[in-house]
Amino acid sequence: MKHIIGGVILALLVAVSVSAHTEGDVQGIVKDAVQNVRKEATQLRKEAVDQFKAKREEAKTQLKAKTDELKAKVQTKREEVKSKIEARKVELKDKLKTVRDEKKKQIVERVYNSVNELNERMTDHFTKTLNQIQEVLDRVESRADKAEANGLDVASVRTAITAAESAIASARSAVEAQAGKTYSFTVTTEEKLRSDVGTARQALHTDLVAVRETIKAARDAVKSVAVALGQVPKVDEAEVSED
Amino acid sequence: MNKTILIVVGVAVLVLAGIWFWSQQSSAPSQAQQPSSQEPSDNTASINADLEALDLGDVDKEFQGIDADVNSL
Repeated sequence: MKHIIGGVILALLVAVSVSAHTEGDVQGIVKDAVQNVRKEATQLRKEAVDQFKAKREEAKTQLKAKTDELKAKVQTKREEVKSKIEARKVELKDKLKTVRDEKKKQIVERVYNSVNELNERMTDHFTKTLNQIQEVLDRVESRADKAEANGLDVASVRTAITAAESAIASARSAVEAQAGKTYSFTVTTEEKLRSDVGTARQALHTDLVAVRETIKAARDAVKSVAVALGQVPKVDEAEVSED
Repeated sequence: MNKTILIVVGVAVLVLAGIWFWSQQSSAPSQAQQPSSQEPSDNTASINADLEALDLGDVDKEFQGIDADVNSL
């Protein structure tokens, strides 16, 4: 009987010991698994942050390159046409010798200068506006990048961004081409001065309105991106911590 | 007695000075609270506001002076 009781106690002690040991093992496995998941999550988070940072750095570089490039191209075109404008001014003076009314001569010369100066002023303005549009698009992309880094779906935003980039590129080409244009008058007779000058005036007006339309299209394309961005749930709450 | 009064007055002055200093600190905009960089905000409200504020230029208005001259020919 004594042996039986001793055996039972021993068996119980062994069972308790084995059970405690198994429980400890399970706890260890679970702890390791949790640690691994945490490590992986931290690693993924770090990768997402690094990817975001790299994307933003690249975007900043590209933005500066694009804005500088447009300014430089417009400036180059302007330098190219400067001598052309001066040469045509001399030709105009020569043509105006047939006009007797001195006041009208002065007005025609003034309008010639005004038309070409206005073209310069407006292309400068369009360049500035286009660069502002590009900067706003960059901010939209920044927000989309943050949203993506936080796991939000920004596919529709990316599609709209591509369309906006294309619209901006078209507007850039239009502005650049406009900067290379000159407007001269074909003086026929004194009586037809108004219509001769009016033709050049109308040509500039038509061209500037057309360029403005391309700028407007670029602005509207970026607006569409902003709308798509606004439809992403909680998009403004998405942030990427540097930590 | 005099010593006690002096201590009480001294403590009161210190407390008042502390309160004044704290109120100055909280009313003045802290340098740390200022935005550290000039980068514009990328939240949707700010983006939309800037898009609306874009000046595309008024072509017709720019032609007013030229048109006055052309019409006087």
